[in-house]
Amino acid sequence: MAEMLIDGAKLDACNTAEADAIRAKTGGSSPIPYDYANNKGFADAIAAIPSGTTITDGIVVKARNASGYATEIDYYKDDGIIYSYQFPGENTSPWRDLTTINIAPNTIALNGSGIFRYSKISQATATALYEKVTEIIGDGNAMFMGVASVTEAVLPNCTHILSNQLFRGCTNLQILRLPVCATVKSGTNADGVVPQLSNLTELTVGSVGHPYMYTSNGHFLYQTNNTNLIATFFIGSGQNADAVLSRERAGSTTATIVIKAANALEYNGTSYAAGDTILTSEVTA
Amino acid sequence: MIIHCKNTLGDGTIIYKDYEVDDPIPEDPETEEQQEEALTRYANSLTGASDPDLISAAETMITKLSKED
Repeated sequence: MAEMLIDGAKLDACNTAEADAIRAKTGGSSPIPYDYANNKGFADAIAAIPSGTTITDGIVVKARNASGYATEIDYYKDDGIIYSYQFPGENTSPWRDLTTINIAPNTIALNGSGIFRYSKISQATATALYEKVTEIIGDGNAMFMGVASVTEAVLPNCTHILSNQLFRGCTNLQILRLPVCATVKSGTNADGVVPQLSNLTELTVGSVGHPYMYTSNGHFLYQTNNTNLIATFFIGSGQNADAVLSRERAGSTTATIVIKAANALEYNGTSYAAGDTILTSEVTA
Repeated sequence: MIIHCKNTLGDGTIIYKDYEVDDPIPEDPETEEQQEEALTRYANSLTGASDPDLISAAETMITKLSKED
């Protein structure tokens, strides 16, 4: 095998240039040891160069389509709140073709109007988002209006809804479950959370141990007239049964409305255990 | 609008009861209350909601008022 001749001066120059490059990244002017004995050279020094600060706020575009519009993003939000009109899907929006949002915070509050209106986000993105939502606030309008891709919305951690027409125009929505939702205020327009959704077949609010607390300012149904709709409300007090039924019945001429006990309670002189059905209301004419 | 319902209680008791249902916004709002509601909803639709029926009702009313003026 032929021996390779190395110019010592040239090798020193190369090593100095590499060390200068490392110092430029890390700062300082101290000599950087060259680990010749362990065959590592400057490897340890290079490995110690910080890889950059952790992103806590902002948007990173991960993929674009042929037209240049973002289709996938990573979304960071240090305050954990998404505000009005952040990701609308109208043709004039830079997010018009966005289907995938990887949301970094573990919990999210939605605050305002039209955040995802007409968005093309996938069911998978919507599902991941819903799991992180803890409350919907801000007295806004129609946050998910016209999101056609969503057929099922389960918000397992959302305790409070303050928003009018939350799912307006989500014509394909079939299932909405809010197992820990305690309060709802429909906002200034009083059109309910799921107005005029003709394909909705299941609405469940509250669960055993998590009663829906009725107030006169909030309701879910408004002209929500699918004949197959079963709307179930878990209440914590027998006194609320008739009020919840009357308010929700006013919003549907077709739905079967079921009132269940979230905890042990009395209604009309009868005791009910948690999970029991207190009454079932069906339209006869 | 009134609808008739059969309410079956958990103990098996059946109670027939009538309920008043929210009236849809009429195509041509007549009363002051209907007109005010249509306008409120129309304004709301501009800031987030969008309901062709409501907008149509409000526009019909606006056209009607314009003609009266």
